[in-house]
Amino acid sequence: MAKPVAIETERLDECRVRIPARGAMNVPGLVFADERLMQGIREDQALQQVANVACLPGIVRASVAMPDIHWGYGFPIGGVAAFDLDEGVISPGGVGYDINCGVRLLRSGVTTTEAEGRLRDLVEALFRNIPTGVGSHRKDLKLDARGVDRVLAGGAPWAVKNGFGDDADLAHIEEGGCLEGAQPGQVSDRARERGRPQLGTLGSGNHFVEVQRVETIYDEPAARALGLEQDALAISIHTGSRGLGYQVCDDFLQVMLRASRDYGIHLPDPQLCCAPVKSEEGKRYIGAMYAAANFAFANRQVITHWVRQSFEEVFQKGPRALGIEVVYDVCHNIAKVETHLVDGKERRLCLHRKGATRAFPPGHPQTPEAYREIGQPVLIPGDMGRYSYVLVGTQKAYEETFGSTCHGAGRRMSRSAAKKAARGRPIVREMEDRGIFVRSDGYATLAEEIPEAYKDVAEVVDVVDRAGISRRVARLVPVAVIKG
Amino acid sequence: MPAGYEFFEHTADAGAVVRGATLPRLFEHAACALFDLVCDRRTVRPRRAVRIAVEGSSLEDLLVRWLSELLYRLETEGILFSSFKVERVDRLRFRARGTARGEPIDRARHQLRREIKAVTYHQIRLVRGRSAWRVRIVFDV
Repeated sequence: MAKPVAIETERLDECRVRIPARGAMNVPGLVFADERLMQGIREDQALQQVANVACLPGIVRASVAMPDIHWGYGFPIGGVAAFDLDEGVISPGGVGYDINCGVRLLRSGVTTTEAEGRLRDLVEALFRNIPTGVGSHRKDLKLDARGVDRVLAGGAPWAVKNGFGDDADLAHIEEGGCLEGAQPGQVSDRARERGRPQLGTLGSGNHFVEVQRVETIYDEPAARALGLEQDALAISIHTGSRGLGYQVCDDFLQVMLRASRDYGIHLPDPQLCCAPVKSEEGKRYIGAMYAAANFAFANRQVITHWVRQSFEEVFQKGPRALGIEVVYDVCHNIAKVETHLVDGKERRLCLHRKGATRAFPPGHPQTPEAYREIGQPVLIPGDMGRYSYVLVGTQKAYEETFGSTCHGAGRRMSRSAAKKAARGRPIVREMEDRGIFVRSDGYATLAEEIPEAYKDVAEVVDVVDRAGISRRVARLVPVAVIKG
Repeated sequence: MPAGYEFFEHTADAGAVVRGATLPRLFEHAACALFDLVCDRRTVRPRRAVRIAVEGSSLEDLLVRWLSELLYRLETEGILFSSFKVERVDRLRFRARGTARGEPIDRARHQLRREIKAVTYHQIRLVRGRSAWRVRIVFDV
């Protein structure tokens, strides 16, 4: 690994650090982290990447980074950058390979007591019904090329129309589960081919479906509005646009490398390749990326349906009695055109969130009606052994971070270090001893995903809560997990 | 150490330093590294041969495309590859062709390890040393 470069920083307060605009930087960097997290952040080149993003044309106010920031390709993971629509750029590196990787949270009317003794069956049913790992798919869901196009244009509403879930689900998804302006025609045949067998599949790595117990409630009224009750079961689904999205990113990195040269954009790192938002290349990428995002929304919607089926099988109850409803569905990797307040004026901006979550405040028109008083839900997964958090967005986030907050814990150990630490250990039994039933496609994933391989997500959440860019509502602990 | 490459530590992803006395060998070793990440190659029989031809805009780009093509075949045709023969790497026109051998995924018999999202250009540099070609490559996991 290349040696970290020292970047000049100034501490603004206990949760915020500024990287002054120097050299080719058009704006300063703004990192949300306390001193403890900064020690880890300084160990790789993430701060350099924050500074690099600040060099891109048309960037507005600051290159922002969340406390879970780490080294990515070009843009850091945990980075937020807003660009002016006329002067600014759009970059596939600012979204990442897994377009609209995100998290969906479902609530249920099932209590922990009711589920006791049935968690093993539940994890088996989920594992049987939801394809996980390399090359897996369900034989009863086949898309032809035309079908893929319909998914790309239709997103989660396509899935609902085709029997996967109901209309009420759609009211609780970022952008209603379908980005307008998606252009399936801009998605390559290669991407379509990769996506065709993968709708409704989880993938592998850190992607999961997790049944959780609502363990702690920090904000009773907000939890009530979200339908989260102490000791009830909830379900988190973490996955994205699968091979289709990865291929869209790959395809457009090539396009953007050329475009950056053609438009004379100076790049501190080739992975920052980009094009003006309004250029032909920029518009094509937005059309393709939105289409891939819709594939991811549909993917999580289809998986939701199979989660419901798995619960029905195990608890022998109908959907109404189980009460499995969508709390919210957020994107972690996306670029979108949004309206924000800059120096007191409303401006349309191209918002890149790469490993960051939208966190709109109470009253915002894009916050679902049911949550208008508390703010937009924010879902932060942790590792499979500890906990995940539910937060809500705030006015401060709207003012300081373009309505954004963190997205997760981030790895602490490399995959090989995690495997070394797990060697010879019966991970499944260890987890069961902690009351967590785990199923995975292979031992390797489990070994790489051991809880200690991740940072403690509580530290990350603590910083965003203290900084006021989102507010803790509840903590969920895992009881049954399937991993790819 | 497996022949021709070694993995290096990378917190979020997986990386390999690959060597080859010739460019075709380096391409073969890089493919072995990729599939050693995906599965236990020893469990995959080289029963089916797939011809692969790729073009790029630089040697690095060519290598990324060779590996990406193998990933694409894995995802779309469900074939795991275990052995590779690269006949030619054209250093002037950035073209490569070769054959990958493997078999369709059999979940009962194959030990699958993980999915690779993409072969990245992250700090990639392919260089010729005194006795071998060498490249450092990062896979998005």
